[in-house]
Amino acid sequence: MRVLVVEDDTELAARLQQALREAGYAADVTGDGDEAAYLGREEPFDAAVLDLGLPGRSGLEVLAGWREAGVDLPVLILTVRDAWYERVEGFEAGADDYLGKPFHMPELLARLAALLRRRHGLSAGPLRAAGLRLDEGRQVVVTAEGAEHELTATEFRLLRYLMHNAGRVLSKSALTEHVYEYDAERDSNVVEVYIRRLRRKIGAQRIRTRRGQGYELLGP
Amino acid sequence: MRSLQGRLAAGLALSLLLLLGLQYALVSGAIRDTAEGYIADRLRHDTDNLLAALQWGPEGPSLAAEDALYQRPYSGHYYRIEAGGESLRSRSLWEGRLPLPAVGLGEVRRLRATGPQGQPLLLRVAGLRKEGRTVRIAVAEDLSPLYRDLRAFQWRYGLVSLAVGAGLLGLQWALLALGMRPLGRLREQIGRLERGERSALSEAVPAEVRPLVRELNRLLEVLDERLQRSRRAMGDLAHALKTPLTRLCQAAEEGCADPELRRRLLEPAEQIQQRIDRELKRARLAAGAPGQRFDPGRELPALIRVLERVYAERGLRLRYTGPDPGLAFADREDMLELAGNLLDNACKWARSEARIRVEAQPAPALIVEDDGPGVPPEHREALTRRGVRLDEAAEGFGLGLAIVGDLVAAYRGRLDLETSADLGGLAVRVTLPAESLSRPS
Repeated sequence: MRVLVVEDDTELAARLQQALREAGYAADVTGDGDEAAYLGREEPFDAAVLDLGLPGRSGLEVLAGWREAGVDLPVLILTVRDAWYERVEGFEAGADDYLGKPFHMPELLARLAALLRRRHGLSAGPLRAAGLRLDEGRQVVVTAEGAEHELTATEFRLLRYLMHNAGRVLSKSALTEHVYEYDAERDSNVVEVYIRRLRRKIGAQRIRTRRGQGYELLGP
Repeated sequence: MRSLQGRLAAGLALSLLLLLGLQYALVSGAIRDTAEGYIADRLRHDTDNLLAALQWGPEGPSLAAEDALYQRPYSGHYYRIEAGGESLRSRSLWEGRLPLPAVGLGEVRRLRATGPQGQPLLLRVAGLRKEGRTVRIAVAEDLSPLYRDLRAFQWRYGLVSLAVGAGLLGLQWALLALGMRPLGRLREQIGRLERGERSALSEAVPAEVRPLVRELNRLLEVLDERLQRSRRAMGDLAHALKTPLTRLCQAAEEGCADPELRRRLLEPAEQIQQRIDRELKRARLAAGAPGQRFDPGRELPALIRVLERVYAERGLRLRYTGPDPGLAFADREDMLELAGNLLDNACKWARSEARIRVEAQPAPALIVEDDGPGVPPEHREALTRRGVRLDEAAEGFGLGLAIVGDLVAAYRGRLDLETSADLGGLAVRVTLPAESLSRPS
């Protein structure tokens, strides 16, 4: 899961990035409205955390621009402007959730997770797909047989993305884009390595290779 | 101060009446004078004729010839001649007498006298000389036919004057009303201004009022600018304070291994945040300042969509009932804040359903109900009492109701907590003064 953080307060932005990484997301950060508008349109993010008080282009304009361009990624607005009329304007511009500053990091992470789950049509509570249960707090996967496997950060990201998109064929490059940050060293061969490792933990038959197309997490 | 229109109308009516009265007096006087002058001219003629006909016989003076009018009794034409102690009088005088005041030779006097039947007479007396004798001739004519005609004329003229006067008064009133109409429009606009339905007065007014209107508009602009500025300043202040506060909270949350120390850091930070929130929101209240009006039929469905998304996980049923778009009252931002806080609170407590209802009559009212546990009556009073720290009074009600309390106070409205008849939970009713409702124009 790759998240775009648009926040001009560099210190807060760094903390957000760190917290998101710890929670198993790939997080890209920008403090500039124009760059945010570009990244949101061009990069395959799974969600965005958007501050409204940006220098240059305002957050609301960025959001409206994305929606106009058909970018439908879930957007959580994070702002000091938390009067209700501002919230209404935020939602009208296309926001999916709204969090006033100051905020508690666990709440932000919970809301973000909820947004992503809603987006993929999954119910609340622990993430379940393909007979697997993912404990997002502990970054542990529990198989249908009840076996627990600890996951490394990359394995966790990859599996979560697969579980969010269970039953869908995902290309290697799509997996790379959604699991790694913008400036990370990207090598699609690495994906194969992690798929192999995941298969060892959850069972080889759960991830099917579609030759020339990619991988698919099989439904239960 | 009395009505400008009334004062102008009274002044104009008075001057009009004076003018018409004066004209009436002048015209009647002039006509009377002309007619009398004409009669006097005839009398002079008659005098000349009489003098010419005057002759002296052995038995004294007599008239050689005499107009028939002087023969018929009370014909209205009379004479009396005095020549050398002898006196001649017209037969028409009958029993009556005609005064013959003394005049010097060559002197003519014109005066009024009373005739044999009490009629008003115009009398002309002249002191003359014929054949070496002094002669005084008085000739008189009855004025009553003239006066009768004159009265008839005066009636007619008076009636026409009255009609003209009434017509002119009506016209004046209409012109005044027309002239005052811009002022009436201005007054109506000021009313709309007060209710915030418009932000400036139209400058399409007569030149006399335009400077006033311009000055008012300038003041309004200054006021609006000041409100905008202070709102902006509040926003900036909020940003300036909240961002470091956010960092403080993050640092405490992440950097504090000791839960006791973390609690001691976070608690005051949270208190500061709530205080800032409440004070900022109070400072932002427009409460009667010109600005965008709140149209519940348009805004509340949007607000419900927001809350449905915020509480998407809970699957709450949210419903709005109230007037269709078009009705508007109070300030949009204030009312959204009010409705947002109340509905948010209702969503927090609701088991499955919350409703917001707007009533327009007799006064604008917002009612928010939920099917949650409600508030026992003994705690309600404490929640609505002014001056009570609402955020402390009820755990869980949080800042929302405190802000609602501030809003209601700023609008001089009422806040009532009841038990929802339909849903069984809490029903919060906010009633605003009837004046805050815009009347359809």
